[in-house]
Amino acid sequence: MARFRRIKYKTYGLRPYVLLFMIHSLLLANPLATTESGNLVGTIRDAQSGEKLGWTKLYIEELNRSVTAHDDGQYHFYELPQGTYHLQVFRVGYHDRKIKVSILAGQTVQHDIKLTENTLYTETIVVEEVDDVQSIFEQPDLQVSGGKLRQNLGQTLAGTLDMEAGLSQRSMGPAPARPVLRGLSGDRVLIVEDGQRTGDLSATSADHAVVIEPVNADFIEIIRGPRALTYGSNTIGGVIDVTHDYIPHGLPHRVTGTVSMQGETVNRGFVSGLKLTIPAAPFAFSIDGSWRSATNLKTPKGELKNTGINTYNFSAGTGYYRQWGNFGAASTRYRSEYGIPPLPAKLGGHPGGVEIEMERDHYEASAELYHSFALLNRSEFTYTYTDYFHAEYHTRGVSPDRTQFGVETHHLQGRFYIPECGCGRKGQLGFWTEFRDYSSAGLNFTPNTTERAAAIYGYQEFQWKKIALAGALRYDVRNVRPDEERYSVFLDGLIRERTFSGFSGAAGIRYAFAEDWNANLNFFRSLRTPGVEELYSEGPHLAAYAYEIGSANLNTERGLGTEIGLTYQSEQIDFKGTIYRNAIRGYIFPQNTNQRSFQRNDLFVYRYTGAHAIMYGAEATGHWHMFRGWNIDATVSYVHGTLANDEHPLPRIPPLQGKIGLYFKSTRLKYGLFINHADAQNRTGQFETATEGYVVLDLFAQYNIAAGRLLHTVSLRVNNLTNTVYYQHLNRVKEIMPEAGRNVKLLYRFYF
Amino acid sequence: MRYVLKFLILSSIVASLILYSCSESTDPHSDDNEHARGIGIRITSSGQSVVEYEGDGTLTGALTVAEGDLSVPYMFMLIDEDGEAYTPEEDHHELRFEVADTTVTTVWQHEGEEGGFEFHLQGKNQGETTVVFSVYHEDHPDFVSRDIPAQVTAANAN
Repeated sequence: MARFRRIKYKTYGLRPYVLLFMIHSLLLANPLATTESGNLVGTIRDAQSGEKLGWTKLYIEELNRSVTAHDDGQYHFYELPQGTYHLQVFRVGYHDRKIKVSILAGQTVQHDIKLTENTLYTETIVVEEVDDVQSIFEQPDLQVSGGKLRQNLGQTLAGTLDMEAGLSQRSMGPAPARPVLRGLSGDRVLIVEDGQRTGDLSATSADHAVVIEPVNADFIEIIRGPRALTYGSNTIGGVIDVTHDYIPHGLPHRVTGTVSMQGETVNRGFVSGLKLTIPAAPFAFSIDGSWRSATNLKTPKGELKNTGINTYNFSAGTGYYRQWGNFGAASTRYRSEYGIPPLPAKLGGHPGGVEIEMERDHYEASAELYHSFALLNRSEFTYTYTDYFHAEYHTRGVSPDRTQFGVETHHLQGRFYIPECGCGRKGQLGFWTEFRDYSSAGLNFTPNTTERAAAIYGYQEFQWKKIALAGALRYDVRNVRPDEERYSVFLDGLIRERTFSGFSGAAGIRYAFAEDWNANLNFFRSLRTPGVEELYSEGPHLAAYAYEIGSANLNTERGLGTEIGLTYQSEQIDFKGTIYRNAIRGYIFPQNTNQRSFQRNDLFVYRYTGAHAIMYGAEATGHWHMFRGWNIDATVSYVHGTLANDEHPLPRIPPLQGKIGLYFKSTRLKYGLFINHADAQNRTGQFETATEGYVVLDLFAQYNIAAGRLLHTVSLRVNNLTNTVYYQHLNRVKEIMPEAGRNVKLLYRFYF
Repeated sequence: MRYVLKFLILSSIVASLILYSCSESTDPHSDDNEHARGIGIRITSSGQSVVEYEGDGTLTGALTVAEGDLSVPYMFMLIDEDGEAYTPEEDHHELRFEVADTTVTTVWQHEGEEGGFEFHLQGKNQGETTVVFSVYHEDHPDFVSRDIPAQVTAANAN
C-alpha cells in the first residue's frame, strides 16, 4: 500500500515532564511507607477429586492485584498490606468464587481454595464465605471471559460481543466494526482498555476501526448504571472495558502467560497472540503481542472486495510492587491496514473502495497507593499519552485521493476509593483531565482544533438489609478551540471557540424482594458535548462515502435514561429482563440530506443535526440448566427509536433480534448449536434502506485439557452453517453485499 | 491526611500543566489556504458563458463540437461562495476530466498546457455524452463538478 506523508505535530516536550512530575509528587506523598505487610499463599483444588488446579486466576478487589496459580495449583501474593479483602477466583470449567481473606502483619497466611465444576452455562460469580452482601452495583452488566470469550472471539471487539443481548455492530466492511448498545452508537458507548480511553476516532465515523485487538484480552465487561458515570458523562449506553493488563496487576511467582492461534476460512484469516508476565521481584514485566491477517471476505454472493486486514499490536509493561502500593508503566504500538469495500458512485461511494492505514502509540504510567485512613483505603493515578493517526485514500485517475486525521491526547486522572463504613459500601471520588489536539489534512476543510476538558465525580453505594442503593454525580467542562475563526457558507454558524459544561448524575436501587429474586430501578442523566467533527466538519470523508458538514451552533446532548430490571437466579435457572427508555435532547447525528455536495458532486452531504430523540426497548437473557450438563441459553432484544420533532424513525436502529442455543457442558467439553434470528427492519430513517429478517445457524465445540505444565484449550466454531444470504441493518455497505458466508473458525490456546 | 492534601495539590498542578501548557497546535497542512473552494462552475467561450450552474440551481448550456473538429477554446472557472467566478491558481491546481463516453468526444489541451483551465473538445462521433470536471490540488480533487453535457454535432459540410 502507498504511504503518505504523516501529519506533523508540534513537539510539546511535555510528556517526560508530566511523568517525572507525577512520580516525584507520588514519592513526596509516600503515605504508607510504614504500613506492615503479609503474604497470602495457598493451593487451588477440585472440590470433588482433590486434583490440583493450575492456571487459576486470583484477584484481590480492594488492592487491584492479581496472580495466576501455577500448574501445581499453588498461588502466591506477596507484600500485601494487612487488612481484610475480597478474593475472586476464576478457572476454566469451574464456578468462579469470591471469598474473604485476612492478611496479618508479618505473617504468611495459607488459604487453600476448592472449586466446583461448572456444568452450567452461566458464568456468574458464586459468592461464598463473605459475611456482608456483595456489592451488586459493582458487578458488570455483562462479563465475557474464559470459555465464552474464546468461543465468540471474532476479528474485532464488536464481532466478539455480537452474540450478547442488546448488542449489535455498526460496520462498513468487517474491519471497522464497532459495538452498538441498545441502539446507541458513537461515544455514547464508551470503549476503554484497562479502564483508559483509547484515543482513537472510532466513535466519530463508521469507517474508523477500534484500536483494540481482542485475541489477548483477559475479559470484556459492559458496565451500566451509576458506576458507568465514573468513566464519562456520556455513558448512557454503557461502558465497554477490555482488560489486557498491559501493566501487570500483581507479582507472579513464576513466568505465566498464554499463546493463541486462530484460523478462519471465510477470509483465510489468521491471528496469533502471545501474552507473558515475568516476575523479577519486586518488579513484574509483561509482554503482549498479536498479529492478524485476513484476505477479502467471502459471502454467499461472492467475494467482498477490498476487505482484507493486516494488523499488529505490541505492548511492553512493568510494575513495581511494595506493601504500600505499586507503580507501573506500559507502552503499546498498534498498526493496521484495512479496506473499505467499494460502493457504486450512484450511492455516493468509490467503485474501487478505500484503503485505510491506522497507527496508534499509547503510553501509560500509573500509581496505586494503599491507605488506612477512615475515608480512604486506596488511591490510583494514571497518566496516558496517545498519538493516533490514520490516512484514507483511493486511487482516482493518476493520483491518489486522500484524507488524513491525527489526534494527540493527554489524560490524567485520579481515583480515590472510599472504604465500607456503616451502611455505606464502596465509594469513589475522582478527577479526570484531557488535552486533545485534533488535525486533519488532505481534502478536508475541518479546522485543526484543540480541546481541554476536566471533570470531577463521586460515586457511592449503600446497603440496608435487602435494599441496595448507588448514586453518582459528575461535573464536566470542555473547551473546544479551532485554530481559525471564520464564517462558512456551508456550516450553520460561525466557526469559533466553544465551551460546554454541566452536571450528569445517576441513581440506582435494587431490592431483593424474595429468595432468588431481585428488582432494580436505575435513573441516568447524561451530558454529551459535541465533537470536533460534529461542530466544524466541512469536507469529503472518503471512507465514509460522505461529504460531512458540521454545525458550529450545536449544543450539548442531555439524556434522561430510565431502566427497570428483574433478575432471578437459582441453581437451574438464571433470568434477567430489562425495559428501558432513553430520551435525549439535542441528539446529534449525521443526517443524510440526499443532496450532492456543491463542492464534491460525487458525494452526498451528511449534515450533523441536533434533534430530540426517544429510544425505548427491552432485552432479556435466560439460561436453563436442564439435566446432566445440557443447557438452553436464550436472549432477545428490541429497541425503538424516534425523532420526537417529526415522529420519523431514528436511522441505524437495529431490528428485533435474539438467539437460542442448546448445548452440553462438562468440565472439559462443551458443544452445541445456536440459532440467531433478526427481524426485518422497516422503520428506517430518511433515505435509509430497509433490511429483511434472517435466521442463521451456528455450531460450536470446546475442549480443554491439562497436560504437564500446560493447559490446552481448543475452540471450534462454524458460523452461518447453511451459508444463508443475510444483511445486517447497521452495515453501511449492505446495498452491495450480504454478511459473511459459512465460516469455520478454529482457536487453539495454551496457558502456562 | 496532609500527604493526601499534598498529593492533591501536586496533582492539580500536573493537571493544570496538561490543560494549559499545551498551547497552539501546528497546522499540519500548510497548504490549507490554497484549497479551491467552489459551489458551481462557469465555462466560457470568448468571454461568454456557455455552461453554468451555482449551488443546487439549474445547469444551463452544453459544450458543443462538430464531428471530426476541434471545438473553440473553452475556459473553466469556479464560482465561489459569493457568486464570483474565478480561475484557480494554476501553480497549485490542475483541471482534470472524465468523459463518460470517449467514443463521442475527448478533451484536448495544447501541448505544455495540460492541466490548465483552457481546453477544447475533440469531436469524434455524433452524439451526446457528459464530462465531469475536477479541480485537483496536489494529489486530491478539491472540487468535482456535476455531469456537464457535451454534444457532438454532424460534421461541417465544408
